[in-house]
Amino acid sequence: MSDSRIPGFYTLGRAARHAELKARFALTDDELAALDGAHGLDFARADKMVENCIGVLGVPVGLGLNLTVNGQDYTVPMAVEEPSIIAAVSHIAKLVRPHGGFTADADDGLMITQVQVCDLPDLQRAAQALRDARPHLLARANATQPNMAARGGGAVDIEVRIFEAPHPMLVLHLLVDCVDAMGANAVNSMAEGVAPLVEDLTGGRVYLRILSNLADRRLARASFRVPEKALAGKGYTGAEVAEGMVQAWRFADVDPYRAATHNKGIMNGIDAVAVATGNDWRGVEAGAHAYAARDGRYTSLTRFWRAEGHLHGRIELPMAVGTVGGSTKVHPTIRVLRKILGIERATELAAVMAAVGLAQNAGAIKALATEGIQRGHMTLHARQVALAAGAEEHQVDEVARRLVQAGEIREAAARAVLAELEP
Amino acid sequence: MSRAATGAAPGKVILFGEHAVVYGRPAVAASLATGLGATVTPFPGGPELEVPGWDLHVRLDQKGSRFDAIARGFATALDAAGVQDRALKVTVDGELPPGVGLGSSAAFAVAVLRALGEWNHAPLTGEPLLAAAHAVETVFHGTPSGLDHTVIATGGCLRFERGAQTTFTPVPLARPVPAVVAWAPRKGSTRQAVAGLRVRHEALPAHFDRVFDAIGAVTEAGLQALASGDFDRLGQLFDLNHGLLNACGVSNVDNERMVAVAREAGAAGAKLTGAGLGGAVVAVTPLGADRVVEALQRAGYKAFQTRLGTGR
Repeated sequence: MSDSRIPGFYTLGRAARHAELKARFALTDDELAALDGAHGLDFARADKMVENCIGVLGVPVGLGLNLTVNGQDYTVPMAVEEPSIIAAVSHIAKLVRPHGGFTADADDGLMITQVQVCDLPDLQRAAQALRDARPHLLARANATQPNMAARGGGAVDIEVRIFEAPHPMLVLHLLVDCVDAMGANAVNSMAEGVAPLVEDLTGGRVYLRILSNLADRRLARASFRVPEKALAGKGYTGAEVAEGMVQAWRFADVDPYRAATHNKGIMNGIDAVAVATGNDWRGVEAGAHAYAARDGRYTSLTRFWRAEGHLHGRIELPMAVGTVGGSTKVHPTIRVLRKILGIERATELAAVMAAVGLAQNAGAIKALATEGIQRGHMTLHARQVALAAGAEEHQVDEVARRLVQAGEIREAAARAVLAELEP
Repeated sequence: MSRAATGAAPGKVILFGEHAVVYGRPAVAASLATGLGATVTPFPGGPELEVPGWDLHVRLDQKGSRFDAIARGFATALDAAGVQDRALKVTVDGELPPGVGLGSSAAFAVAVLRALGEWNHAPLTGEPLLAAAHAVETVFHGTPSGLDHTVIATGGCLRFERGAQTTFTPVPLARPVPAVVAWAPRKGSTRQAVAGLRVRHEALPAHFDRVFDAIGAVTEAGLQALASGDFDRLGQLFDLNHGLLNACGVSNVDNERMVAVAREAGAAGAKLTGAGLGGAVVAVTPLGADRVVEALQRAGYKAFQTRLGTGR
């Protein structure tokens, strides 16, 4: 695995950046050409991917640098149009790197696929019939996807859920280990494959047969800790920054209005990796937000706290991503980006994406916190300058406000403001 | 409830060269995207085997029942997988019909062995899986050619040649072949089909050898169509191979009708697959597979949509 630090990467031009890629990731000239907007996805291939195709849309792709997860370095391609996202991830990754980097893990690739059964006079009895037929249902499901079993996956368990009023129905879950695939097509086929058997067993009628994006058996987790001292910057202490970040997290923890924005920031990073690796980012989004509301109240997907002189951060969220199948085979640029990332296992990708989301979030709240501190410091400084310029007690606030607004905190400017204020 | 140990295996079809393979010409077989699944669960009174789709329920202590071969095959699988604690039940299910040449017995063997391997925390793969599947197939068929369990355990598409030594070579596929498989009851066994052709060959050896040569040439052309993903050409070659099989006298009225219905409904080509005298046919359907399935079902046959050559 290549070193994820490329000092001064941002100072290089395109040719020099591509030379770095060629050297570090053994990219061929064809692969480098696939990174050029004009030579990536062509119309003919795009036309096979969607209906009524009229063209392709370019999105910038950058590299998230400095990331260390579980002691291993990752250079992370991120496809996103918004500025500062890639910089924020790289900044936090660099900060965390000397202190052990990120620790992350992910569950096996268990997807849930649902079969909705209606028109049942006795829900309990139908539920029992399904539970009794568990091996039979699993065998039937796996028969529809024998290749998945050959890769070590397949349907491994069932769950039966009963809904009473207002809409009595029974929902069968098949729990399917998709191994390295996201698995949407496979699990949908399984649900379709068991539907006739489910109708036979329950006497009901099957309506929907489709995966759930609330992939809460496929969670990814990441955490880090840095000494607060490492957070110190020009004009503020590490403890101030840590407290500011924890306060920002507390806000998101208690208030859904803030949590929505806070989690959006997390997904800025995660979605960018999902897009760059050809994964279904809408599915990842849906899973994340549903999980954020799992206790009945929408809240933060991350958690930050201070302990023993360290700032700690942690994230946990569903991460239904794969390293095989999907658009990987079709999209030439995605193939190259996956080569740069160099991840074979879906669990490894999920863990790295969780780390990216946590880094993104930490970067965002650190910027908000330090901006607040800076503003506070600036106001404090402006008040002192105003007093030195001869402002009266009742004038100080207004003079300081105008100085901060003008961005020029000097005695001469303060005297000019005072002259305007005095009749 | 703990997770169950599961396994699955695809069915198979012969794409080119059945019967001619007996006379030294190459054949090509492919795995299906559908097959059989097996689930192992704890069961104090075990070992027990249940195949609801085939109406089979076997206890290993049953003697002299019509399930004898199945019971012995199951016992062989338990031994081959090295299962010590036999308080278990294996449930096998899937849409693969038995006895029509779609590799159901080999898929049964491989699915059960995979599930038992997982149950035993010693997954069976590669050579050990092939050897174990061969042992189970030997119980079912006496002296199996090995084609079925090899293509089913390996997945993908294989070229098969019988000579001093039987050889299997992976065949490169541009992409899995969209196909429809249909079937009717067999009107004769594989043994009868092979023996019948042998008698005809002995009567007119020079003429039949030319037919086998033609099948060999179609097989080679078929390999190229598979490698380039040219499904229209593949369909034409299916039609050619079917005509030659008809000349061999192994196609019966059901095979002919199914092939005609599939072509009429828009398949790019269709042929019988396996030993013939009834049994399965396979059609290439780059477009409109739904219509082909419907037409076959309306004609009174069982049919499903699948893809050929999926998996490794």
